[in-house]
Amino acid sequence: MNQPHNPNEDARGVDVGQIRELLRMSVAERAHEMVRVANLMAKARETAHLGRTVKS
Amino acid sequence: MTEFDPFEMCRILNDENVDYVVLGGFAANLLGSPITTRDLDVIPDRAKDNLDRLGRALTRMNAKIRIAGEPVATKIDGPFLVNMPHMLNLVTDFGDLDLTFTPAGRAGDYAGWRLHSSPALIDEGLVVEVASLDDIIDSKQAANRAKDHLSLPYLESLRDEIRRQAGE
Repeated sequence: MNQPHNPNEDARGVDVGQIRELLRMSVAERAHEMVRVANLMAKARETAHLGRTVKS
Repeated sequence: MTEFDPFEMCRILNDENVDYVVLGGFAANLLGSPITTRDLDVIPDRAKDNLDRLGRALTRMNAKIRIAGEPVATKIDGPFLVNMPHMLNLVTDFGDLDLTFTPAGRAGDYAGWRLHSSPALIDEGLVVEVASLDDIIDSKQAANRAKDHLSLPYLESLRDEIRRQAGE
């Protein structure tokens, strides 16, 4: 089955739209945004892990 | 879980007048990469005085050696750092910090990375030297690890986009 094509995806399969959005920010804004997301993802992983541990 | 706070780590390094360049995933983020990271990679100048200053900064961060299992608390000062040939992975009160003395790639040592780095304001009153995207890409290509293969397409597309926006 064909997957819907993302118009922002380049030949490498990278979403360039995301890169463009980051390039529109100042360096400091980018830094804070990426750190915020990294901490959020880590927290989500930890919560999921705790959930699995409690269930088992 | 320790919150990743590269700003505080850099602030302490700057406060202690450590000469270093930020490289790796966080440097790539500063340049526009969308791949998140949870560690700060830096290459410090290996000059004796600088390693003494770095030791003081690491003590302030409560740095411990990161290994599988519990981190190892030890005195990390200038003489200790002089004996580190390649790298030192640390856990600090502000997240993971990787010191790399001989990163893969053409840039080579601190002087080589510093040659193409640029200062960047990453927080209020906080300026750090950031490795060039070309040096980061070259280093990841040379390191040739599985995680580098995952991030390289993003970094190469970022470089293409920066060049396109610059009209190159």
